[in-house]
Amino acid sequence: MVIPRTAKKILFYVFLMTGWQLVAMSEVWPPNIFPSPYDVLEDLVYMAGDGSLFHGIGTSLWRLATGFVIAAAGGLVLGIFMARIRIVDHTIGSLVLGLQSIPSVAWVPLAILWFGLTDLGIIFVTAIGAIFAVTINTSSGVKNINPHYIEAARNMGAHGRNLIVRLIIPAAFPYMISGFKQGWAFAWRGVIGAELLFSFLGLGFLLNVGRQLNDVSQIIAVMVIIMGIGIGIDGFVFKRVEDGVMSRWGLR
Amino acid sequence: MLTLEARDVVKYFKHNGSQLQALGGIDLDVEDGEIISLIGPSGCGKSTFLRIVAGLECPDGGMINFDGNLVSGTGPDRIMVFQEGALFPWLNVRDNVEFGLKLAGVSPDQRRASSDKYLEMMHLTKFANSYIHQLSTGMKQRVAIARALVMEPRMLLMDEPFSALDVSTRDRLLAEVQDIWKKTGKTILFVTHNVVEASVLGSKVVVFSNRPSKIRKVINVDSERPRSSDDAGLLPAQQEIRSALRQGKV
Repeated sequence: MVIPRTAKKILFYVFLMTGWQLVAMSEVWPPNIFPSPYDVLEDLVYMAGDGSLFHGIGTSLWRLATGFVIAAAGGLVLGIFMARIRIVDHTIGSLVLGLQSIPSVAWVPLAILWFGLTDLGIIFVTAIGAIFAVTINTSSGVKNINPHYIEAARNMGAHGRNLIVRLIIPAAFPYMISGFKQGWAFAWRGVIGAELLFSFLGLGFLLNVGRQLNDVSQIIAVMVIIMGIGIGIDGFVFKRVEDGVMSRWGLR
Repeated sequence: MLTLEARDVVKYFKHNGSQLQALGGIDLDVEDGEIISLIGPSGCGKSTFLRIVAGLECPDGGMINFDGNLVSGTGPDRIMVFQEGALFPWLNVRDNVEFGLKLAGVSPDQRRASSDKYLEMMHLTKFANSYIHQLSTGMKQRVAIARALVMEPRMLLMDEPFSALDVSTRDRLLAEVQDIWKKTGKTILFVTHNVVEASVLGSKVVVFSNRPSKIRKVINVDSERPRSSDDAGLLPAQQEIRSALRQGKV
């Protein structure tokens, strides 16, 4: 028998929830340590009711968006410079590779000292966690442009800013999308991590509140939301853009 | 009237640390409205010469005058048609054709009118909204030619544009290029390694020698146009080209 893919998915989650509910009901662990899915749902509804959930989501998404836009724009510029100017590649390029290996939460202490417990500090952590992934992907995208594209464009009169806007960016776009995807994933981790440590509003803050109140079901509820937003942005924003570009280029 | 004067053009290449001489002094005059085929063994530098004429590379010696001006860079009066077309996969056929016009700041209406004209000339009207990957190799070369023509260049530089095509597609495009030449009177420099293509298109066939290449022979081809690849009248010219290519080979 062939079961359709979505049916398999739904079935899997039904089993998962039932299993979770059964384990919780067996009371191997006390409910305040291992809550049931129903408890989690109840907490979600409660947080939605008093508005704290939506406020948290809104705050985190706003920080994510701001940080990501800064990272995308900065990474694009830096990546193009790295790919087009050899001295930049040999100097700043090596530094970028090094900085890329620093997990974004490792920037938190610096951000707190530089910006205090402010939105700006969290946005800084978000942006810096994402910018190097965008930079590296953009740079390799630009380096991999078919040289005949550039020559054809120059032949038709493209140079300077025109060459970058009309040729370099669209020609490297498939790579840039990978950079944006990676960058946004780092940014999302960065926001939540920073909010946990800054403990200043947002979903990360709600996680921290859950820990302080010993409220495991609130922690799990917030984690479910974080996961849901991750899946949503990946599937609705990036996958669509990627599919559009890939089918235009005939790469898929 | 002379369109192009090449004088003692020399070009070196770096290869594994040593210098190779690609062009050993090329002299060539091209009259307005001529089709010149450049033929030679692969790697002989005929494409390099074309790229120097386009302004995509600088000569290491000698000079090229185009319409009386020294060539020192690319210009819309000399447009190149690349071997693989070099069409932009992120744009559809029409936007590819209009690319250069857009850069030049031509208004949307005028762009549309020009692209319509050349899309029709190259039998591409139905494919205006297709993306590049949806086209056959022959169609891609048609788009590449339309994209070059739309710039209204004085000279069309074609770098082995038909080398990846099957024989029947190539024959059709050979006929179309002659047709375009008749309609527009463009000066065409056509690089190929194929004797048949060279003789069908060229009113002169310029035979390059091996590296460092010089012009070994210039063969005039006088038969009536339109010519096709199985014209018996081209056989003597083809024999002459072949024997010129064979010279110097051990």
